[in-house]
Amino acid sequence: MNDLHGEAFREEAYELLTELETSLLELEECPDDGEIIGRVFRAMHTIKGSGAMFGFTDISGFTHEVETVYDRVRNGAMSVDKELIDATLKSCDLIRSMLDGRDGVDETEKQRLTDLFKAMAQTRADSEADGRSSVYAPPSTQGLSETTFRIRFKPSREIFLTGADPLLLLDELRQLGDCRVVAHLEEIPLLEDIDPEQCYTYWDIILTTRRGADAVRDVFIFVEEDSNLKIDIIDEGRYDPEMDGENKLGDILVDRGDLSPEDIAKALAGRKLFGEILVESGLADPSQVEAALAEQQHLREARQRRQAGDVVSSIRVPSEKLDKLVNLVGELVTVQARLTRTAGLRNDPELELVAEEVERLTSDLRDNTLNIRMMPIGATFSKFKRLVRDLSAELGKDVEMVTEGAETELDKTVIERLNDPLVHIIRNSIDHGIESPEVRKACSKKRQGTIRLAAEHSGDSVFITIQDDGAGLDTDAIRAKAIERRLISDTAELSEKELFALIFAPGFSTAKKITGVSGRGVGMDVVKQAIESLRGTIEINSRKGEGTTINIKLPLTLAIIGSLLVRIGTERFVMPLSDVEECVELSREDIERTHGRQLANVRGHMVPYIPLRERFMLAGNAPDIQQVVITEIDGERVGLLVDTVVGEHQTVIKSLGKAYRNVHGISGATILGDGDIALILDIPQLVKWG
Amino acid sequence: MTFSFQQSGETGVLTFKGALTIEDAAELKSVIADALATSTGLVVDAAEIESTDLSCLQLLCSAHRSAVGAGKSLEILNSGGEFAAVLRAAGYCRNAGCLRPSCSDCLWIETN
Repeated sequence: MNDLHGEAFREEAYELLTELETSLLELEECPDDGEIIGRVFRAMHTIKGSGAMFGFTDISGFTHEVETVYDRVRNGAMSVDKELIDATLKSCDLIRSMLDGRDGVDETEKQRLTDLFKAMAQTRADSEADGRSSVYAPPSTQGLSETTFRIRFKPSREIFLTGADPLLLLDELRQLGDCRVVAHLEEIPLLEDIDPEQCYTYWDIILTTRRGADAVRDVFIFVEEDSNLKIDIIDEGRYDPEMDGENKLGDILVDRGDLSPEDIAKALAGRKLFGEILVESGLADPSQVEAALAEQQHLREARQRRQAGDVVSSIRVPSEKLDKLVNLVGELVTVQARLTRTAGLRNDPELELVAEEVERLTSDLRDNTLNIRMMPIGATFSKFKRLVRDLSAELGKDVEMVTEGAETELDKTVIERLNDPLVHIIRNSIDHGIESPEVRKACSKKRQGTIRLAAEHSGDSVFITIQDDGAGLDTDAIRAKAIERRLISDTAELSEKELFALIFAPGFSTAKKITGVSGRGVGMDVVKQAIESLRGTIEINSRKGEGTTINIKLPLTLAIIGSLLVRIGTERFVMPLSDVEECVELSREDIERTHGRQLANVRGHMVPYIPLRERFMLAGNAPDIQQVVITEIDGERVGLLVDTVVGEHQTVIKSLGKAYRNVHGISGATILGDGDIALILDIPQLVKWG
Repeated sequence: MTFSFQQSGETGVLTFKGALTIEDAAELKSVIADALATSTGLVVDAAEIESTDLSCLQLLCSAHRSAVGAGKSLEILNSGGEFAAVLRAAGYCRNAGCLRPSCSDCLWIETN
């Protein structure tokens, strides 16, 4: 057994399981939704089939039991309830453990679930025989309207070699309803050239069925990947005589791709338009024709839009390949900077022109490549829905999770590294934040608590919010704990914000008891570190009795950032443009005026600044006029004093080695156009250090 | 599958018996090629074909194309029963030939 295929199956199966869980949670909310049931069934069916094909017989055997039950649900012989959803979710966990490897599999659990599903398939059948009506009515009696599909099925040439017989598939289609099959023979070669074991035939099939698009897709489920398959809905049960205009035949040919619209136009050019004929013969007046044409056009466009929406294809790419690509693009950006610089020095206009073009292209390439790494955060949110469900049950609370902005895209690495911190925050929320239903009732809150997870873009950052309507943070308890742990003196006066920030201190926890879920106090500081390692910030806000909100701000990308290049003496530094607000000049007189108090007057406001020359102990004297780069950190404005601001720079972040990890104020380095190195300033750290 | 070939003058008659499926496809190709080489008009008698499949239908189509291209003819006789059933199932029966100009007398046009 080639393990390459086994790996591919595993990857696909993990993904299927995640989607399956999402569908199951949706199904719990809408137990009658045929579309969701179809999705669940298909996922099981695929896992079973692919599992069998790649030798994972234990998985396919187990999944078969689950699939059987859902087939009955699909046919209306059985209804969906909490017991079934629970069991199915547990099955997902079991299948995961089977994918991970034989040793992790809990055989007793597997037996229990297998027996459970077998029993379900049986007893429900019995109760059906009792004549009890099911909640989910079978599609045929529900009067699902007839839909007509146009199917273009072009199998791969080698399909015979896989043992599949297209004629059997055509038969299966016939079982779904009225079917008209036309074979396309144009590609069959001459006798001397034909390979008798290859398939040169493809088909256009018009099928009218009540069974729905899923049933049609199911027929092709195992050959879909290797074939060219297009399934379109061409009629949704209404026969509309007005639609049968002159162009119907042409439309069909264009839709199939057999003719181009230009061909149709050419063919029809010589003829009078149907509408014209009608008007000329007095059978219809121009406005009637006009209105009818408008409707025809409208329906055609609606159909095209629908078709366009269906054509979504994607390919799976291993992360390492993507990382390599990003690296190469990074190097290209660096070299391009050198090219631009060299071109400028040469004083050769033609070379400069070329360099400009290269810069433009490199910029596009950079944006596109970084964009490839972007993924919607929705998948992460969906995983948490299950977490919330399980945790609420475990802790005896009733909690609902609401999400916003699931389509917000973040860099793949950021999403992965966000996972654990978010899990921890949600756990805290459910464990400590949201009160038990009795307590909530006593506080006149609604019984079900809500956790709101939201994500949105703003500028070049992403904002993630986790908000609960629980008990909020107890400032007195925090204060007490902080004093106990000697983080503050007992006479210290702290603002609410400062008190909340103490939560991020290592080992801090106000929980009276340590549960399996949280309370060990190793959480929030690790969370903060994780967020800061992503060059983000995290902040807590809370109102006692009302709830807690955690705000996380993250940069959109980690690899290449727009920065400001500054110079101090002979050294150059860069800082992220997103942190920079503005630059102001600072003359010797300004310094003297503030009597050495390192404050800059910016439009009447005093902004403190950090003299980087002294901070970094750089040799040489400052120029008469220096620059203060004003940044905003945690709502406070702080300036950084430098000699000159050189300009904008596309910074490809190179990390410094382990030896430099504890250097304060520097978060990495970058290579400039002339080959020199500039250190990347970590402004939050610099400010803290000051 | 078993077959017999009888030649009378310029016309050849190929009679097939039994199953004509993908296992026989390679042999079928050479049998027809040989038969076409020696006749200007080839007739395939399908009366005793018990079962057939897509690969053989393709071959017949391909043979017809080559025959017409070489100025010869190929016809299928007695295509009732099993043979016709598979033809219909595969969607090969049609009212007009396919796009190739050499197939103006397409093999699969229904002559009812």
